[in-house]
Amino acid sequence: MTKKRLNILLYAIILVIGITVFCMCNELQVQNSKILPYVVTSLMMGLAALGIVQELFWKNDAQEERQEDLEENTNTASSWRSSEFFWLLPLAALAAGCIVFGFYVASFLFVAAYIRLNGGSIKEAAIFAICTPVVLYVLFYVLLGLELATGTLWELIF
Amino acid sequence: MMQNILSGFALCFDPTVLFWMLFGAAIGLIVGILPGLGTLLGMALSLPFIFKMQPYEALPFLVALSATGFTGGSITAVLLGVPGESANIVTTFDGYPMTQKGQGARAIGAALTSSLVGGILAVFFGVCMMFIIMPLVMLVTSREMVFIILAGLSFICLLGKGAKIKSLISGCLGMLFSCVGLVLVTGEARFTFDNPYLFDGLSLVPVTLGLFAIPPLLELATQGGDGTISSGKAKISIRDTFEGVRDVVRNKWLCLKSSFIGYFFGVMPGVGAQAAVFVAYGHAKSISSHPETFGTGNVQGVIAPESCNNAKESGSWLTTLALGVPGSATGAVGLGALVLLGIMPGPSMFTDHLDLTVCVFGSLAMANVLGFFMCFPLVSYLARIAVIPGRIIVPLVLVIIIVGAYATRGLVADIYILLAFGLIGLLLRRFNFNSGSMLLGFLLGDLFETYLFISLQAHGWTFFMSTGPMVILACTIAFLIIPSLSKKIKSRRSA
Repeated sequence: MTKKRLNILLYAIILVIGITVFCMCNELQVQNSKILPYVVTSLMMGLAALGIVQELFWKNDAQEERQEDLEENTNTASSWRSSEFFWLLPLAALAAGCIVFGFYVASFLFVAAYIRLNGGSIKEAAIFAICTPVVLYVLFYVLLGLELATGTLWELIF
Repeated sequence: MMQNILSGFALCFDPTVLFWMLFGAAIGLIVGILPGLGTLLGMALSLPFIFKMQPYEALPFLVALSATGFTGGSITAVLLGVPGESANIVTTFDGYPMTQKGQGARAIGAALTSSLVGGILAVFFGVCMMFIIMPLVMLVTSREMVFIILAGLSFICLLGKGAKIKSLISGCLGMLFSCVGLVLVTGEARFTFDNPYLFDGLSLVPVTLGLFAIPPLLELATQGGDGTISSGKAKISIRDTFEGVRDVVRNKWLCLKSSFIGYFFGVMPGVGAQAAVFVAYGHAKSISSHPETFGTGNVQGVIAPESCNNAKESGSWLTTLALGVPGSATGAVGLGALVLLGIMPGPSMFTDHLDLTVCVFGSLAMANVLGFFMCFPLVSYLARIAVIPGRIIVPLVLVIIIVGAYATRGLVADIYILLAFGLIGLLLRRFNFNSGSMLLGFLLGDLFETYLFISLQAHGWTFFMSTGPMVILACTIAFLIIPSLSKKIKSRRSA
């Protein structure tokens, strides 16, 4: 997809979001609660429309655009591991681990697994995996007095 | 009066006061460095412990904690792109790219020095202008506040690297996110989808960490286990750090102006001092001869926000002490501390407790010096974080971010918000929208609505037809237009 088409699509999505939120505002009971969302969504829709007009009629620098597209295509990495979006999965796994197993256990498992899977030695993984929950305990529990959740699994067991 | 001022300054050098100041500065640095915790939490957690302390011990402790928190936050903002404090977000815009270029030590040197200069200059402003600025602050009403916030919001269009439209849309989206929750002025639940968690609105910490901390870390993760933040040299000498100090000297006027912006926003009660750093950054960009280099590692983009965020603390403490109306969230905790210590803030702070007031300002200046000297010798070691392999940095910082997001309120739902905003942050980056604009909209949306509502109730739709709002509006337009206009005139003349 060319950059121009992508931008038009993005502005169209913003326009749809704006219209949806604008319609959602009608459900609010108190008039004063609607002022800010109305103002903001109107502005957003206006800007999105302006963006579409700009992309369609004002930007005519085809040469520059082709160059940008070319650069983008050369920069596009081939492997799925090189997409930032893929790395949201381990983050989501860590979050799920924290909720289920608690912060201390999840951080131990996550650090160990991450280091090992990314080419670290067993010794390196073990050292950092043990140190992380210890540091968390000292910093958050001992020094700051904040209790970190032990996880739903442990709460069910004990 | 003179005797009170002198005894106030003498108090700052009392060994017990110095000890508490040092202790406060150390804690401030630690909570500042840890993403998600921040000065506010550090101060709030300290409140139960200051109960039995004397006011001249407790206040320097808290003041030192609040002053150095922002200094500590700048270190992670520069080295990891993870803002320790929400006020350090703007520092990541240019600080982190500098680290990626192998100029991490220089960026930290500039950040620490500008923090020091900003902190000290603001104390100077505070002491000199105490009796001029206070009557002006008393004149500010809700309708002036609407326009002061609008001034902050207008800098959205200066934050974007490329398309202004995308920047403005990001700001609008941020304001829409601020609409979530119970509407303060009407009590109605808005965009909450009957979810009790959303009644309080979206929490600032997970939103900030999601938008600013997660994308650079995930980008580092894509480089594989051996990828590093910096592509530059691994060995960093103290000379690099001093280069940052020299940068501040070279940009002394920018530092002075940014400090004043910080002080001014800090003094304004309830404006939301986070806006100050965006304004300072926008101003630096608008007056720069190379605005296109902002966001790619321009040292001016580090100096402006760092001098500003330390300066606003001084302004905030001044308003808290003089009016009992905090200028920022830390000021609000400071107000709580004053009440706990049995001191009623107000004009009496400048008559009956003048020595204590002077001691607070002296402590602010000294805390900035302490923060600088505690961090400066460590810079060349800290900057080596940038060459630690990604397989170690990424999991450790991700764990700290998740725990930081959770620990602020102890709610699991904050982790979901963190993940959602992490995704939004990635999408914004991918499609060249602006996270900074979104956050500014998010921060100021609530305040804007509250003051707009009060103004409308009090003065009707013609609330802006008075001298104060008109003057602020004219200043804002001038602030935005004059730099670009003068640049155009200069370029025409040179052509």
